[in-house]
Amino acid sequence: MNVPISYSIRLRNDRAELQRVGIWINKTGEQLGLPVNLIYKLDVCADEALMNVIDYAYDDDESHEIDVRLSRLGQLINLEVEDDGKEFIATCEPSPLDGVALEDAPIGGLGLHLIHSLMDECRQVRRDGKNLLILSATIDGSTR
Amino acid sequence: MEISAEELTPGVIKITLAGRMDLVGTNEIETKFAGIVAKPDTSFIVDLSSVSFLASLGIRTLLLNAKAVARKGYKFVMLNPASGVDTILKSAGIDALIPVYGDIDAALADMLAIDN
Repeated sequence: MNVPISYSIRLRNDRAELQRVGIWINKTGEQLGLPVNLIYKLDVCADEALMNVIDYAYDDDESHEIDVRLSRLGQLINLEVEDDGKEFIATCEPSPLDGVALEDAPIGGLGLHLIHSLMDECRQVRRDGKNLLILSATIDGSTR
Repeated sequence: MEISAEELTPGVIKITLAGRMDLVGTNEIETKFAGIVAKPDTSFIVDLSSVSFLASLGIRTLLLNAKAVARKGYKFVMLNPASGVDTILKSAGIDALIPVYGDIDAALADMLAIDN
């Protein structure tokens, strides 16, 4: 039976933690034997997903824990972000820059679009008062 | 993250960015970046070949500065993004708003041709 190889990191809901996660994603991606371009996409998606959680998931000033897991089972890679913030739906949005001229281009709103465009699949589960975001990609697909 | 500027020819400045254009990197350079593009009567070529990471915050900074330059009637283009950064620019649709060049001579020639 194949068992996924999985690594995890826990961080606080603080933007200052994002740099540490970026380093971890790159190191863990190498340990999992992932191609460089896939590690890059995972790095960007983790950054975007965590920024959303840190900025929008909490209405209090308390410290909260967020778990990030990166796992590999054969060619399938899963990046999971789990938080205990308020329920959030990461809907798939077209780029807000599509069809607009530079002078009308909005500043912001790109994060969710990037996540959906860089990953093969984006799923969300709400369980036991926590949000679980599961982003999936295949190693073969990373060549696109 | 680092930022530097070099005048290539009167009226055209090359801005070179290096490092991770994440939250920390963007914060490190954004004030200086805005100061450079505030120079009047100037177009800009932004060299991204040494940028190792770009996500939405970095795109936001590029857009803000591109808009500021465009409002003055001048050009703001990008040069030689690395493979991963290029993927992000295309995924976001930025390449349709801010021209991307693979060759500085071509970028410069187009800028000077437009100015003439």
